Amino acid sequence: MSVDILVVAEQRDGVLNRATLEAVVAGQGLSKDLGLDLSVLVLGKNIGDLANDLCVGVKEVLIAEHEKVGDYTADGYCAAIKQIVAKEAPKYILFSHTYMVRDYSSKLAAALNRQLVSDCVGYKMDGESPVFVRQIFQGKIDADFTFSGDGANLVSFQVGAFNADNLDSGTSGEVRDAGVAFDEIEVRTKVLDIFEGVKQEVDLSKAERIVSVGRGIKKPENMDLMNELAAVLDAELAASRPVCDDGWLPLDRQVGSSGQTVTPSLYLAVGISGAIQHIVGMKNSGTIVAINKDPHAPIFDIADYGVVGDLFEVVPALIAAVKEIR
Amino acid sequence: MPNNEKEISSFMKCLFAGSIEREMVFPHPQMDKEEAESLKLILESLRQFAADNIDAGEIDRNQEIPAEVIAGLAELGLLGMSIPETYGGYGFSATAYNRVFEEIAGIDASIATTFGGHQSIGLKALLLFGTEEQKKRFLPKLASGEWLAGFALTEPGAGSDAACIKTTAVKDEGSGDYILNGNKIWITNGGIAHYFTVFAKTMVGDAEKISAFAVTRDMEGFASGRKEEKLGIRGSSTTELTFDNVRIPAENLIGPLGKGFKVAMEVLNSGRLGLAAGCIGGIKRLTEMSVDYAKNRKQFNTPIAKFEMIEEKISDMIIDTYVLESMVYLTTALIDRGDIDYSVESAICKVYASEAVWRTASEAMQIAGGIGYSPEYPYERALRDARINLIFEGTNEVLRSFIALAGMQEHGEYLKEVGKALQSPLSQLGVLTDFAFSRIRRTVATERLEDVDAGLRQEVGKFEEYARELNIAVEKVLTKHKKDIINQGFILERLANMAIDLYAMAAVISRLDTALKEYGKEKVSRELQIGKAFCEIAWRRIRRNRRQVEHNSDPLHKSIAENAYESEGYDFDLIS
Amino acid sequence: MKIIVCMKQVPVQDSLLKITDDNTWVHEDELNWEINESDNYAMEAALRLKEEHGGEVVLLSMGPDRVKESIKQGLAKGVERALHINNEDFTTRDPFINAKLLAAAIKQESPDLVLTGLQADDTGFGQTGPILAEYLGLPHTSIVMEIEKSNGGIKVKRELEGGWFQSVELPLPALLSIQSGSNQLRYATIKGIMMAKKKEIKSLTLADLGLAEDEVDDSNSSLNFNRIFIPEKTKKAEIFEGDPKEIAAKLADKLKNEAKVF
Repeated sequence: MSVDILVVAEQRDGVLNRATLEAVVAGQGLSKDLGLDLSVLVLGKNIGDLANDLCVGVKEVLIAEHEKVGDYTADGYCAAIKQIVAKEAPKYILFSHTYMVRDYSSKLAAALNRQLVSDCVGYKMDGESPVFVRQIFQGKIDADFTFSGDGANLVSFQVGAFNADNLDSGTSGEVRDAGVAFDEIEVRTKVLDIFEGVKQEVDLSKAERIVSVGRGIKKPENMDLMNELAAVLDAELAASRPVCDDGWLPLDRQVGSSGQTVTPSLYLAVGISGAIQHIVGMKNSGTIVAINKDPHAPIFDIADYGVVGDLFEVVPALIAAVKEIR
Repeated sequence: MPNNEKEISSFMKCLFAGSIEREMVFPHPQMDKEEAESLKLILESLRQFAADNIDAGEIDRNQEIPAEVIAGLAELGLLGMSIPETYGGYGFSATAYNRVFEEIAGIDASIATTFGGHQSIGLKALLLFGTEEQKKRFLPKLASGEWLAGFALTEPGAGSDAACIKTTAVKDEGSGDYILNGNKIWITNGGIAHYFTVFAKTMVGDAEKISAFAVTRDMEGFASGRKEEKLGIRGSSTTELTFDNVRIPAENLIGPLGKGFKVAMEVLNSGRLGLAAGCIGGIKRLTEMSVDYAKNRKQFNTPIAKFEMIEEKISDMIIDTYVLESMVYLTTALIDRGDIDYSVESAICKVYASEAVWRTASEAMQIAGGIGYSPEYPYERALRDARINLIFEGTNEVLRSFIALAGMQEHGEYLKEVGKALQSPLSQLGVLTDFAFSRIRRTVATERLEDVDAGLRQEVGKFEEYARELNIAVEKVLTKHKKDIINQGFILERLANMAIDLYAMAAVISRLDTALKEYGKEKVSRELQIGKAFCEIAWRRIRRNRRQVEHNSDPLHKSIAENAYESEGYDFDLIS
Repeated sequence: MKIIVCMKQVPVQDSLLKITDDNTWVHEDELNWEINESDNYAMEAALRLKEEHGGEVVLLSMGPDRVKESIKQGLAKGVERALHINNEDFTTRDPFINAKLLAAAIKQESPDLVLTGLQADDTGFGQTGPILAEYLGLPHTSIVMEIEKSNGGIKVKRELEGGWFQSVELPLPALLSIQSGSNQLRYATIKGIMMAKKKEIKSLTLADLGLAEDEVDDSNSSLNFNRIFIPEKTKKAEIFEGDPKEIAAKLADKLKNEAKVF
């Protein structure tokens, strides 16, 4: 039994993080391009059902079930996966670049004396070898990476870089025990509790249209104008992190890597520059419209329609125009 | 005013007298490496604090600087920069202090005014003339920002003519205290300062002379009026002060009795550099805004930045900034050297800087077009904030008279019959310092500016030529008008303008020469363009002013004005 | 408590970047530099812990001579002393090699706590913290917002996705990666800047760290940083500029009839 490409799944309380499926899609791509098999690893407690669900589209699912990995800790996951790698010798270990993965994936690489290329936006084939692409300087420049030497190559993919909908459910594999010797594992950190920062009043992930507000609106008093725009478009109001950090809108309206990820059919970004932390939360939206007075704002790189202008002039005009045309 | 026999160095006074004291302006001063490093860190901290906490538009709209902002700046240590370390301050050089001041002014003019009122002038008298006991008593709390300071000289009837103030401090022979009565107007920090340097008339023998006193808000009989509404610098507190039988202990007399006028003039003399440095900060900000706007605004399918009339305005802003930096930080270095008379240079910096920032604010608004006129954008506030600089800390008219008269005073002495006669009107002019009547110390009388980089040969030639012209003009007008020169305002203005441009040229040539010698022509090429462009403007302007000293239509202008006074305005309505 | 803060100096955010001709990096000569944003928050967290529990904060930074400027900013804010690994002669961009160097310096100090920023604004690997934890054999956690001392060591609040948070306890010594925005950053006061002049910046060479030149050679790593390039914009936005009323009408029309979003 050999493991070629191993995708490490992420779950909490038996519920799968959807980003894992994106990593599987990436894995399927590599599997095809490199002629390698694809396996998935899931760690946790009471994850039997989840392991079965994960069998879709892969050769097999390895399950490592134990208290010591019931709650995620870097110590637990790294030690367990290290044992598995020693046994199975995978060529690639893939992750989705979530907060959890950021916490342990490079530690794991260091422990394996191998390396990790993180937060990749994709990969391309250079003959027979894959070249992994990630962004540096906050999304302004791309960088190519390749691996050399023997041993596992670790790669994490940016959330949203691959589309979970593209999962090829053609084949289906089996679940097998990863055979981790948990008594050898020492976990030094203790998870005390998990809690929600703010009670969610609105579920932006269900919104059809979103008007999102950034620092460009300058002060909270200008929110009325944005409310009006949202109302006339029959949209929900959302915001980038700085706006929520300053308390101009509640935290549950935050879109971005530390807020919600949304995919509405219309995402209208007003006064948002388009920092990477925000983009990852909305770049898969249907139609993206951006209004910003800086023609070089990165938001325009992912927009379908862009307005370069003063939002205090454009938004009132837009409100009027939409009212008329609807 | 007694004649001070000590010899004092002064670059401009020597220049008026026909000699170029190269040593005073070459090489262009460089800050001590350690102080420069610290300064960089302070500016960084200040910028960060400002970005997080200061909203200039709001300060203007509310006509108030939030207490937390003043407290925050005090915590950074900025209120004690120029106070010596022994009294809880940081003992900054004048150069470092003024550079920080430049930064503050670029952030917000009201805050700069508050700061300047506190540190450039308010507590300055203590630093220059205070006794050890007075310094210990007041400076620590002023350094920490627990107290703010103000400078109280101006009265309703005494603005430019400061010598005729009417506030009195009468000695109570029994207790030795002074009883203060009177009022002051337009006092910066009037409503928020705890400590004030107040100037009042006192009897010295049979004569009425001005003395300076330390007055604090907690003294009975002291009151500050309501905040005056102003066109600009609206966030700064400007009020009237009233003194109703305020009892001041004798230990609060600052400087010798009857020497208050000298105290005032000394304080204002150095305070003026702060104003000039502040204007630099304002111009830099306006330039940034204008460049950004011009590059992004398109009309006729072209960014307006490409139109020559816009390029001209931008070029002027850059030139003014370069010239002012060269002059102001040359002058602050003169202050730091210690025993140098910088009164004329300081006045020159103030005049040039105030007019430059007013000009720049107007042109920045012009570039912005219609939006410049709207309060949604910072242009109109910049204009309003800039205007006061031509008026306060000595109106530019009085300062021009001073530049010319103080500049030619020693030459007047040389002409014997004139010199002594100049003393009286000069002292009445009210802006002079103790240095005014010193003999000028000259090293080697030289009319040449030696040892300057070959790339500046042309500029040096013009400088030498027009320095000579200044000297010749002075000789001519003194010979012609003698002591009546004091009343020849048109001429004084032209001589002052020549002096201003000459000092500016010297500062720029020095700066470029020093840079060329250190970095070589290639690295300095852009600055060289600025210097050459300025010197061209300057010498042509000097030449025009020089010609007009003798060839002018002054009598016509005088007559026109006098007729207008008679007819109370314009009397020639074409169509009535 | 002895706390070491790892600080990286990065180009000022939003600098104009020009890629070198061989596509390996950007031209550094014309850039201005600043302390990496999350490292600044790490330093703030360290200073607050010291103020509350006593001890010292030591800044560790690796970079060429220009890094000293940023180190001085740290000293001005209250850090007691600094260690500077001067890499003028051997710049590496491999996060594992960088961590090896930092680990060597940290081992000599035996701190109670090591703090790093979450990720660097230039390379953005975000790996230094966890790798260091592995090399130093320390328990660690990341994306930390709050730290407090506890009976078992320290207790931290860390950020999870979607507005969730987690409390985790770790024994000391430990390593934490700090998230930006976790505290209000302090400003260096003039007093601090003056005091910083007397504080020590210790220069560390490879020999001081007990490392050989080939141990810090990028070309030996298993991950190759091949080339960097400005990404081609695959998506082309339709841009509107000009009179607001005209733009608004056009945009509304496009949204209704072309994109059909309402």
